[in-house]
Amino acid sequence: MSTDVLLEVVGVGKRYPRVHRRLDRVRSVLDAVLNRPYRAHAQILQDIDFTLKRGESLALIGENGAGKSTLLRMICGIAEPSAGRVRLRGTVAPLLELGAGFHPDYSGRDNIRMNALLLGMASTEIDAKVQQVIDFAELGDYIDEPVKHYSSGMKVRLGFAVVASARPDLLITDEVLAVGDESFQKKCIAWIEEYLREGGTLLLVSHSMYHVQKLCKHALWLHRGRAEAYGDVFDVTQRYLAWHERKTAQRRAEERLTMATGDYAVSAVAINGEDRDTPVVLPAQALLDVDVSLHSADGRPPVLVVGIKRHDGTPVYGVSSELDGVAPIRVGDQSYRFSIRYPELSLLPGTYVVALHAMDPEAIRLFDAVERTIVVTGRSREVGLVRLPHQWHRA
Amino acid sequence: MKSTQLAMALLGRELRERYLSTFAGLAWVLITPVMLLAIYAFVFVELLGARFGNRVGGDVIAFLALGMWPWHAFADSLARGTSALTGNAALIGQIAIPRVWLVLVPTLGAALIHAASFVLVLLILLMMGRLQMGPGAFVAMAAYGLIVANAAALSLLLAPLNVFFRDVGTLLPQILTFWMLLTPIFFDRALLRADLGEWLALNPLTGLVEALRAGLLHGQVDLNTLYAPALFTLVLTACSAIAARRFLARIEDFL
Repeated sequence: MSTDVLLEVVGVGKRYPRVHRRLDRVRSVLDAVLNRPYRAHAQILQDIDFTLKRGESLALIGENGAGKSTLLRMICGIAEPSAGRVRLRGTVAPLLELGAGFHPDYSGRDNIRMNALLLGMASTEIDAKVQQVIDFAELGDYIDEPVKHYSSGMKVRLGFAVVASARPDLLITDEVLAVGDESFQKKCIAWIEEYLREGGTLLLVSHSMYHVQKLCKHALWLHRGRAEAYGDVFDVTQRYLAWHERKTAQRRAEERLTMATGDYAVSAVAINGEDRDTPVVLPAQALLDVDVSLHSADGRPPVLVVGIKRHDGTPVYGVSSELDGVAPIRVGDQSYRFSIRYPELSLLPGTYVVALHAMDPEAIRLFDAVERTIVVTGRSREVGLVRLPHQWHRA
Repeated sequence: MKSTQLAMALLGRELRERYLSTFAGLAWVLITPVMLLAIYAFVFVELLGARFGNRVGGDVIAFLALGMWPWHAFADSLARGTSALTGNAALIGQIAIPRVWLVLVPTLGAALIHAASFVLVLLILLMMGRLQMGPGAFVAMAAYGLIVANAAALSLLLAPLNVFFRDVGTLLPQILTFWMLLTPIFFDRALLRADLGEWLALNPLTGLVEALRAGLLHGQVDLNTLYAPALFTLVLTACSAIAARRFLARIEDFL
């Protein structure tokens, strides 16, 4: 293991024994006692490999139940891997659960001391840093109250303040920051950014892709206990979001109202030449060509409505051939074709839906609706749907 | 060094927790033995008129006390150690903490409290003129230490087993009651039928309680009485340590 490698996870897997039925429990205990793999088990994680060098930041992303927390627990030494190995060359400070390690009957001050000892700090070091922790946590007089009287946010503040004072080689957080109030979240994020600038190493679990992209350089996407993607944070998060959106779209497709009566219908769609119903990936500011074939039962030229919306349904932009005064190209007795081009697509990175609707020639009645997904890639952290042309002026 | 500081902090917390919500606090360490001695004197001497051979009155109290206090230390330490992992299930799932300490800290915490209480009892008995404080006291201390060591070793074995099967914790009070009756606490083995006395010698606590009594009541210094229990403790500790090493790695899977 290279000296700058802080964490090495090699072929790690985790199985939990099934223990709810008496016989299963007996068999599992026997397996544990004989130090062999559980026969009746649930596979939570499998074949996880990655390394984390000093100064790097890695986000673990994935759905609930993907195995993120289990992986963190093995890295922290709380759980033992069933397969593979975890090697950590340095100190680790985890923020895994709200109030983890706090004794509810003891004061915040008492818990600072115990938590700091659990993080490997020496008594003299703790004595020197207690006031710093109290100041960071902003708990005021509450510091001498039992922790059971603390709110969720106060517990997070205290937990984070202790971890911050430990300045670990590896900082691990698992969504707990989402509990704190906004101003403390900002304070924590500012602290993490400074910690990273000074060479700290971060392992972050978050469902907020904003935080993931802001704080991490790399990401590991876990899906059903396996590594689905590992690499640059923007690539991995965009793939993850695209998958999420495909999943959502698939569900929506089942619910899709197909209004085609046979009179006017969308018969074929090609996005940038791709006619399959798979998401089309294109970089920000790229060219978008949409070619649509329409069926017209009575041979009259139909109207096409083209809309772009975000994956969650928020409309971005819509236009129709009737609004623009454009007529379709006749390609057969009952077939027409439209082509529309967006020369510099100003959508921000994310997943969007191109919705295509066939209407009657009078543009009164909607007959059919077809949707295609596009994924806009890029490293922008701008917020919103589209990049608006803008200029900054210095007063 | 840091590990020792953590262990000491855990032990300090364990001791505080025992009396955290009580009005008298740590004063209970002093109150309990005085109360118990008074109760024993009333029940065994006044009500039952108990006698062990030619021992009567205060000698009966001294005889009982030198059996009861070490036994309570053993039983309480073992019970607390055995339930330590199931009682800390949430903590084990949340933070990386040496699991051996989670077992040993409550075991040793109970042993310390009982030791403090025992010292007070010994002082009272000494003032009553029932003890002989000489070299025999060192034998008694060694015997007491071995009793606690047995409790700690058994806790290391039973605590993970109690995670695997909670039946262990449920069964333990019954086993301890039976064990107490097989230990010469309320009787003098010398007064029993010879064959029965020999069978009771197989109980590892028998020799330790008798060595402790002999050292303090009669000032006897017979190290031979400690060899077999010491060897037993050593073997038990080694076996428990090996088993605990394997079992403790897997307990999180069953909590």
